[in-house]
Amino acid sequence: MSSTAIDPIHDHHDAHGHDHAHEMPTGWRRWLLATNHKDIGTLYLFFSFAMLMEGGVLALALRTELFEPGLQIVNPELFNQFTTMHGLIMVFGAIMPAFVGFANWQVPLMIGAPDMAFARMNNFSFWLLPPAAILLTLSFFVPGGATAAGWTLYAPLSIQMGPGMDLAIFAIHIMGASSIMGSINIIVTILNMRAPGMTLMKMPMFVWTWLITAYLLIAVMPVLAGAITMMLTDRHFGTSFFNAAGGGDPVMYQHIFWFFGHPEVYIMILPAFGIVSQVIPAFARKPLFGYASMVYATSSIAILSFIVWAHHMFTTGMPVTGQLFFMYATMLIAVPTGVKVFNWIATMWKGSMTFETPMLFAIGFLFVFTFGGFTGLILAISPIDIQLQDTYYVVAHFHYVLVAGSLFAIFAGFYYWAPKWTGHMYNETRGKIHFWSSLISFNVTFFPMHFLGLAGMPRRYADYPMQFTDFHQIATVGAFWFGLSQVYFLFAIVLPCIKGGPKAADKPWEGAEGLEWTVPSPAPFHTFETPPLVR
Amino acid sequence: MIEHHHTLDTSRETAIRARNRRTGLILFSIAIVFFVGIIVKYTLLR
Repeated sequence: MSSTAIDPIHDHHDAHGHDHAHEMPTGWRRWLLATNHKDIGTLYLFFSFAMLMEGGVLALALRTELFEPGLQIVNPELFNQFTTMHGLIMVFGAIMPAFVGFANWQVPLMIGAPDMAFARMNNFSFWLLPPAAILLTLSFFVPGGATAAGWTLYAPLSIQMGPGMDLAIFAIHIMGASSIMGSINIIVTILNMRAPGMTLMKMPMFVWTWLITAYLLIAVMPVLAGAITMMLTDRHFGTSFFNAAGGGDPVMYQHIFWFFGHPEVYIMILPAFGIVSQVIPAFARKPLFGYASMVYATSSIAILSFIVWAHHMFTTGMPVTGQLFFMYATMLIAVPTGVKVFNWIATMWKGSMTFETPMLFAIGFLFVFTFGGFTGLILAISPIDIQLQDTYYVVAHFHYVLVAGSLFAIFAGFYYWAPKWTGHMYNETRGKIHFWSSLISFNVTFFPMHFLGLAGMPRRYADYPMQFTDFHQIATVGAFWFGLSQVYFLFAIVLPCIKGGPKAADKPWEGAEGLEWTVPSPAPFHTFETPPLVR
Repeated sequence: MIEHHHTLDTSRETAIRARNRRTGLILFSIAIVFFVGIIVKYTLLR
């Protein structure tokens, strides 16, 4: 990114003096009727943390059951409900809303816009989420319990499930609508509301990655909505899209689902790439290496994500040519991803690096996400995937990219921007404790799962043979340690940072660049009412 | 771009609002086309 110099004539922007008290509603009205991008961003972030905790508790219930072979805590039916809801809640409730929260807070600040393009729709996008989360959670209490078909909701199981499935379908529809509205808002904001002089190729990488992610969302969320609508009509209105008994095709569901599902993977990682691309240059005190190639690599990943979906389905049976196509197309994604990883490393090369918590999480991301990327490459190889499909190797792989990838980048972004959001510096020692505790416990939890998978332990099973016990016990200990680390994050870092602490400078990071650092800390209720001029 | 913002240049704001609506509608139509398209493909075009 070229430097974002601010025109000094325009620099005495309204951020400093126009925060009239009557413009900022107080009490519950401030949050329920919020149209301010910063308030809505905060709501998204708190919502996603609450969902992280709910999904985390479900995960710990699973890990407790798996501590020993045999059935101890939950019966297999409830175990399957927990795996399904853990997946749905983490994907749709925790990771995606967290990134939308970041987008709400940061995109207007980074492009010099006064707010999101559609402020009221923004409110609606957020307030659709809590009812969806409540529906999902309440589905545990309907006859038959929550859906237990796995987060992929494969037919025919999903057609046979009880009313919990209908609640899940409804909840996903609502969350999908929220995502589509959110992404429309983000695209329009980025395309139409950039400050004068902020050309597309001057935009911060986080904004670029979200622009591309939002296009992915608009393309694939309606496809998921279509798939679950067809499922709903199969369940209640006598159609047979996916029901073999009526001439339908269950494998067709998998095709439609993964046409959504694979781009969804990139929806959950591209904004993470964006955050890391902001953090690494700031703490290496060098501009991002290969800015243009980063933009093109992100776009290439997004385009390729539409032609690889059937690598999730190698075991459903497909012609060898089909396997080869999807195998090679999948491997091709390693090229732009490699470009990004090498660019991050080149950014750090000969930089004057310091290792504050955001940088630690960004470098942690780099190591552990890349590891998850490599296991992805291994799984892309069709003959290997046929052996490893639905084993713990896959569970290990996608937790390396989703936890150590997306979640670590979310943490990096939180530590990087929290001084701007709260006006206070977090406690650096506690941040470092959170990082090391999370990094080590993450690996204790998920590294052994590779061995379990290679030895044949299937995923979504409540019980297992004796020989898997040791690795399962290590994973369970790690999982509780990881969960406690996040409770520590909430009580030792997030809440104290909101309540008080050392005052943050307008630009707390020496090497940070961008418009967000030109406004005071905490960022006033209204910023950039008069657009800054970017040269 | 909500009402109580004191944007000095109101003509610029009006123009941006109109452009926002247009862009938003185009994107919304794309989403609807994908949703309807996928269902039509597997009903009428099977």
